[in-house]
Amino acid sequence: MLRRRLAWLLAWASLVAGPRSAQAYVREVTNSGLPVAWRYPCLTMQIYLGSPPQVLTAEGYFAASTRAAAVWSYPALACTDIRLSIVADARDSANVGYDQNHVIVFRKDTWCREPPPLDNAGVPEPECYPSSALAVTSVFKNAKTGEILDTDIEFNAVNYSWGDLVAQAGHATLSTADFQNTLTHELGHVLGLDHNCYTNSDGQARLNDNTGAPEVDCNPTPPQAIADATMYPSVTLSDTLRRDLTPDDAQGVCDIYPHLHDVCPVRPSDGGCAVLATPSREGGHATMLWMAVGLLIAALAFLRRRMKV
Amino acid sequence: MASLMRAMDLAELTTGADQIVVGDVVATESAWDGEHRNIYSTIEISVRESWKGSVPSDGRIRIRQLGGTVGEIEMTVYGMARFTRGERALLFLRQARVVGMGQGKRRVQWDPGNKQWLADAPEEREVVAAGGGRSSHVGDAPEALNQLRERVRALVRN
Repeated sequence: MLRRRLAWLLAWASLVAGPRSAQAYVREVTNSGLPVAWRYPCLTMQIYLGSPPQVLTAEGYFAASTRAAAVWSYPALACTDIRLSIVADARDSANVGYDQNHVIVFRKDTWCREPPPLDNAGVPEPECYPSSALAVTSVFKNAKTGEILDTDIEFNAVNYSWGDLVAQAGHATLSTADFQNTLTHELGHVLGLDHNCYTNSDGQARLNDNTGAPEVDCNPTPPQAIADATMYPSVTLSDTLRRDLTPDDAQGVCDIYPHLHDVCPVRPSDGGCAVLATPSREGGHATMLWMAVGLLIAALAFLRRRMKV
Repeated sequence: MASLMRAMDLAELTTGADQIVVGDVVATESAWDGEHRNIYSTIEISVRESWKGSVPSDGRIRIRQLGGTVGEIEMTVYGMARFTRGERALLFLRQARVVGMGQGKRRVQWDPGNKQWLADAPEEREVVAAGGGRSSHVGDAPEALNQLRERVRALVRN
């Protein structure tokens, strides 16, 4: 924690003193290389806590997931418009897949995707994950624009337990991980951040970081600021460091979703102006464009009403 | 990525596989499932070497996994192996699925300097290594395919 505070202090000092320290985060991209982002900054995920798995209680899971969402969100992170909220659902579990419902579920009986996908003949085709997978996140996005459309996170409660390894260090076992730590990292992906360094083996070309430089190698030893970040790709089961963002993590979400509104803006579909999360690095210009389009639509609607009167 | 994985070592991958091959990706195809909830990709592999299990007489195997692009919609399941047409890979498979999601795929590339084929480190998006320490290194160094073949065959014999 002390190291985190020092990192923040150093980042602040560098901003005040002149040239910025190296800020490095990497954005998720589509297969064609477009950066991905939500179009609307207010995002709700439902966590299903009907019969929570060991070790936390339903209240404990809800509190941990709320904390994980809050660190990425305004006002805890004043420079972003993201408001990621968690809603508890009293049911046991939910289906995942392309349905516009963003869910966090625990698989407790079988570590398989629910509902089982159907093949083209309508026959269930069970899709089970390996026991080595602790959690699986899936994302649907528009391949042509980079807009994120849907996301789900499934936790493996068949082979692992989920605890609070800060408040109750006694929860630590060989198969218990810190729920908040894991979810904070996964939510970074949900918001469109990729891992912050390059592994030569993930089948994906080396991406550029936000400075335009090729992302640094994860191996053999990345700079400490990279290894300490929430979006670093590798952690131990006992890790709790990812619960808090480093300056690089914060910079990432704030660059993608800069703070423009003190209250959650109205969705365009609700008649308000569109804002937002731009799939490009030139966020300010695109945001201005969206606002201009929104204002134009509002003006046209106003004129139509006047003409009807 | 987001999928969180426990690292599987070579012995675990070998034991968990019913088929271990080195092959070239010759085709990939994606489609929605019957309920339009998930996108599946079918990857066709032309087998160059078989280290475990049998290979169909046409020398082709087909892998099926979640994720892919259909029209404008792209589905990503973080942790799944990524396949590119034309690439060569070492694959640990069980019932036509990659073992351990991305961990059972290792890209194979020619090293012109040393005139040998190298297999990349395990393909995984995230690894949780049990045990102490705050964070572990991601992946290992590439390994000569000849050496890896001997190690895997020794594990298969045992």
